[in-house]
Amino acid sequence: MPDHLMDELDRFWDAQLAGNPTDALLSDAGLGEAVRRFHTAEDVDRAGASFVNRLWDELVHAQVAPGDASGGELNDAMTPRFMRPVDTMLRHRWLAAIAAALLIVIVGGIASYYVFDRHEDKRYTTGPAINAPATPSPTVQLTPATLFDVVLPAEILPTGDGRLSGLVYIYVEGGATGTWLNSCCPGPMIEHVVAGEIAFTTKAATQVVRANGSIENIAADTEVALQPGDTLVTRNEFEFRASNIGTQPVQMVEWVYVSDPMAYFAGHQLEGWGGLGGLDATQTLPTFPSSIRVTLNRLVLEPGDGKPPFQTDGIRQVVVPNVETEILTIFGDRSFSAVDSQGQLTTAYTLEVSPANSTRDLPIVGLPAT
Amino acid sequence: MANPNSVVTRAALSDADAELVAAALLDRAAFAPLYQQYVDPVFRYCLRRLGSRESAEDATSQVFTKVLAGLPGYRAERSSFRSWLFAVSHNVLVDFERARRPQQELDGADLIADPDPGPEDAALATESRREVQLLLASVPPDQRRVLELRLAGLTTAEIAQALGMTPNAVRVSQFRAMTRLRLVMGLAPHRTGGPDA
Repeated sequence: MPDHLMDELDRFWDAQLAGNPTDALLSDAGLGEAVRRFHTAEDVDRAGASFVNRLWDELVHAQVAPGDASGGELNDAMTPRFMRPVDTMLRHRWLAAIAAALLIVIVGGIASYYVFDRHEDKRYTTGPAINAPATPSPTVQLTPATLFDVVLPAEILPTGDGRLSGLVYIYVEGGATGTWLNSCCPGPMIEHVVAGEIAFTTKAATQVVRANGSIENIAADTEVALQPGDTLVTRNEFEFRASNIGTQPVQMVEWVYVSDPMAYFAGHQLEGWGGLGGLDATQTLPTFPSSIRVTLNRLVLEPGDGKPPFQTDGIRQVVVPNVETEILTIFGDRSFSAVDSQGQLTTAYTLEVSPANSTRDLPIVGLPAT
Repeated sequence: MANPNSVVTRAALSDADAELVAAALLDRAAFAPLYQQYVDPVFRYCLRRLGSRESAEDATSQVFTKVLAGLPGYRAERSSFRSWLFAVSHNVLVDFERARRPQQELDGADLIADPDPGPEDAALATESRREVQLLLASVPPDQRRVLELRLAGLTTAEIAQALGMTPNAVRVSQFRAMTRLRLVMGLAPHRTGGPDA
């Protein structure tokens, strides 16, 4: 058996699965073609959405006892019961944020953060304590509105395969001040204030789109205060300090669009930042060869209300302010609907990105990479 | 220690999975991202092994129920979550296959008919799955197990952990399998750079 081919095939297959270049890895082109055909033929037959949602519903509600997962017989208590054949729910993708925060507590630091910022920072040698959810009872007026609608020019956007778009709803405790250090993963970032008052001081020039639509250019190292309706336009790689200058929690919607093949999104976690807001991140993104339109909307949904699929050449992400009380069913085509949470309305924030083909009247904002 | 106030990290996938497992130990709902990521690969793995959507759904349900129940026993330092998940899947499927033998062996295309053939738009999917099943049926079972996990996206190391094999045994199996499949596919043997293979 030709050992070199065996090893080459192994490396080729691992690289292909990882999405890495495979061109020079396999000297036998026929073997490589066979692998490709094998995978191409396979790429069909997904689990049905109704099954996926129904199973999840059963899993999160079932009384699952800790035990052996080796594959023996299931006892009755562990068997999903599928009691609700229709109208099932999928909790919003907020959990990565909490998972990341919990891990800070559990293992105190973690290698997962390691590569992100290679600078040693003595201020955080033990990791910040997890913040008690600054959350709840949003006092924000529940009115549907377009909160932010701008064009970002192509030259400031990340390119290539390693792009990530992340949306998260953040609470900042009253009086909290935190510093975000320079990091990897360059790309645009916005912070839209829903409630409260927060001041940002950024190491680089930024912009603020005020609630009335006016745009202010903010010089580096200059503090700027944001109130409800205002949006900071900055970049993820810019260092900044943020202070809740009020006594009530600040509520913000944060969006980043960054580049890094190994990135994942957990929302900024400065001192006092946290809460039960939803999180939605994706690395399945269309290519944007030119400028993009970025629109942030607030929706107020009756049970069952939602949005149809979004255009395939764009991105739609959605978060809710409180994942314990506001639950959406989100489908793979980015359509979603509100689940009946005891008859209450659901507030949802959608961030939609689309090619800026015919948006001449919208303001153009955004900052170049440094 | 690195700065923990990160918004985006470059953690390896397995690290991210391990973090989510840690969170899910405290709150089962925190398992959601892992479920979303893996429910489809597991379902397809089950479908490939069992041949019907109904059976695959049953098996997938058991896999995730067992995984949730077994999370406290998962050790990230021993294996990636993905390899552990597919080890559980493999064991569940072994039980399924054992329970229904000899009525339905996956040794021929005539045994993979979906009991819910569905509308026309399902025809292509069924046909494609049939092609894969035919290919898989042309290699011995031990090689087939390796290829099925390759289709599920596992690396050599993860397949070795999931199936309890050595990495070298995985390499040998997949090489033999793909050498065989290349012939089945009608692809010419390697003829460049030296003597014929």
